[in-house]
Amino acid sequence: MRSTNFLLLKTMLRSTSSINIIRYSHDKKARGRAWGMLIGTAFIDVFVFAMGALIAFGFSFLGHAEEVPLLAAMLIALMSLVFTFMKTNEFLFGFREYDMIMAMPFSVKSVVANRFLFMYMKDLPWNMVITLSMLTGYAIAVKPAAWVYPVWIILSLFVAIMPMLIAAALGAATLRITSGFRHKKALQIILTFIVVIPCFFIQYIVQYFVRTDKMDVVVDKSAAFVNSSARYVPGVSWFADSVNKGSISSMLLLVGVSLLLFEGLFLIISRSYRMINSRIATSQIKHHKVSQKEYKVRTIVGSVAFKEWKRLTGSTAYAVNMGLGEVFVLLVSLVLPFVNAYKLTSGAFGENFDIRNFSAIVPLAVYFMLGMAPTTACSPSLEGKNYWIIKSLPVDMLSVYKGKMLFNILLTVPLGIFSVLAGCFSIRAHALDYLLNIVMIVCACFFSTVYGMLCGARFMRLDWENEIEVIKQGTAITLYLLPNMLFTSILMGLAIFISYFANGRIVVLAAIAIYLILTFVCYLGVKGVAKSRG
Amino acid sequence: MSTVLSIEHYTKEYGKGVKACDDVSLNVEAGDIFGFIGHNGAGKSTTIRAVVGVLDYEQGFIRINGHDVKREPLECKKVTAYIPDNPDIYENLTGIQYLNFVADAFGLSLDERKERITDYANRFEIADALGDLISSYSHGMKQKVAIISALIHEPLLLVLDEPFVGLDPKASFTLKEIMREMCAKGSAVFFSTHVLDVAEKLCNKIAIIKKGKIIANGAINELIGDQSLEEVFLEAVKE
Repeated sequence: MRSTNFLLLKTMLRSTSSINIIRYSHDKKARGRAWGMLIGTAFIDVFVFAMGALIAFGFSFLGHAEEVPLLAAMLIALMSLVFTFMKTNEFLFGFREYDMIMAMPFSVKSVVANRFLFMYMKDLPWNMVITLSMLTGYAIAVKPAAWVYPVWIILSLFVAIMPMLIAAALGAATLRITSGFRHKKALQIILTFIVVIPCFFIQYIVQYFVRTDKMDVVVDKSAAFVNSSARYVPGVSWFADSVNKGSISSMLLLVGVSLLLFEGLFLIISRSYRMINSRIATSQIKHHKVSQKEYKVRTIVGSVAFKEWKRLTGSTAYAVNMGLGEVFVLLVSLVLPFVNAYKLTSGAFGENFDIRNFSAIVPLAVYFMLGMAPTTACSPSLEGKNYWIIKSLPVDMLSVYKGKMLFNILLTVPLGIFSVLAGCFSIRAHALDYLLNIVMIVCACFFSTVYGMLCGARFMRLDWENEIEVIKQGTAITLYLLPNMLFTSILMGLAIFISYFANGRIVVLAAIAIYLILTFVCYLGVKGVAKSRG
Repeated sequence: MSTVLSIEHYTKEYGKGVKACDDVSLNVEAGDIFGFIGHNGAGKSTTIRAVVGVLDYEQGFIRINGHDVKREPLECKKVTAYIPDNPDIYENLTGIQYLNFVADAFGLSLDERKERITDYANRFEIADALGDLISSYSHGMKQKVAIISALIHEPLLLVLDEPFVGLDPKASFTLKEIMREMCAKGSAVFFSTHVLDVAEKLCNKIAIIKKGKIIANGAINELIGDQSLEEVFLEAVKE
């Protein structure tokens, strides 16, 4: 690649780097946010490093040292595959500065390649934390030869390339197909779900196989699973053979094929790059004539909620990230009525086991997925450059927030009720449990909505370059996600524990009360933030 | 004549001691078309954004129709319309959905919005595109939708930041015509521009801002006398 091409990559990295903000920004808030981002990332990295090292050590200690390189490579490869596919439409195509960059003296191929490398560089620290943590655990347990370290580290740089290229090709193909249609966004969202959802089911398949065994059996089964599935993930076996056997041919294959694919794929993509981007940017040629029905009067809360619906369905990244839990819950709920969990568990755990005592798990499990990421946590930040519209309208901020909350409630509550009904039917719950569990999921969805709104409004960030920054990586969504998941997990643990000894309805009633109190407290917080924002 | 917009000793600081606007004072009366002139970075947009309640400020008073922008923001916004220099509007809505959204915010009835949207859409020749997504619009079309959204509630004060950038000649003419019509009905227009010819022909009052300070303010006839506005402006901003 010519040196001018690295200039493009360097500039993109610099423009999105926290370090640049810390060095040059005069805005204390922006600098504080950048520091917060660095420190937060460091904390997560330390946590992931410790986890990775422990897993690798455990595998090696229990006689599966050979599977550790496979596991490290597979984790990186799978994550790269899923996340690159989800990001293709924002990072590789349809990005904000497309016009500016394409007007510069860079070849199309180098623009595409640089955008890809930009994605790669953004993921690299995360990938390196995983691989280095596993190397550490592996090294402590196995004490490998000195040559293993440089081979492991250098080849780790190449492990993500092939899966990323495959994901980019899939993403490009998806866009190529859908960009010609009028409802291209809806098609993109559906196709993205079709690719992403099966990947999330994999973890449940793994959990099913290892669910009730002792630790050594769990590790044995996991190792066998890693071994058997490695052949389906490109590059993973080559990485493992390089580290385990010192195979020069595997090293050359990993590096060579990665580079060849890189060159080849971008040669192909660059041919239709302008066309895909043009189709993304331009609309249908035929105008849609406005009918009298389209003049509609709504309350301002309803109007904001409608706007939020269009915002969600207008962005693939937003819809996929926010809708993942909802789609997952919907799919499971459609299957559940045909699964008699009551009969299945009686068969598995004996006649004395009555799953109906554990019905409190149903709304909590549904909420775990539905409440994963509410739209309210991101939507204030997603106003971005449009913020002037809300600010200049004669509408108080609380009404705007109410509209945003209404939308999330409409998105989650009906689905939550449907899923709880399906779950209760599957375990053949008592009539009273149906009612209590529905009340609970409604309360939980209200809590998720209002707590998300509080985080979203309080930690609103408008100066983003790419909406992924506030959808996946923003302070608001992080502050929502971690306590909410922790709290839900504790409730689930308590529900299982108490249901063994007492009536599980106590947990449901307690959870309803807790959710109501927390919702009220958060709503007061939302009102406070709304007042301060005018 | 009643005062529609009154700015008194408005000062906006960015960081310690960096004043984007320094002691800005001016009045816009009903029926005025008030031009706000200055070169890039002079403080025009900073003033305008504070007037419409988008930007917070520390010192001074801004009143619209007697209401303080800081203390009674909703009362002010109800009678004001704003069009920014680069109108980023909701790209995922269609033109009609966006206009319905704004009409809902201003509480317009179905008949009012139908009549006004149809009228302005025809005048700006954008009626055929209102059913399309805003993301498919050109800059000029987005500008037209933003202008229509500003006009449909018949504001008492219309605030525009560089309104003629990106508009085709026909749309520019229509906008000027509408500005005059509004003022004839007792509304006021306050806008910034770099196009001095337009300001000279359209405005009855102007203010010139330089490095955050007002250096000339008053009726255009009195300010320019026999000279052109361009000559007066260049003389005023000369170091």
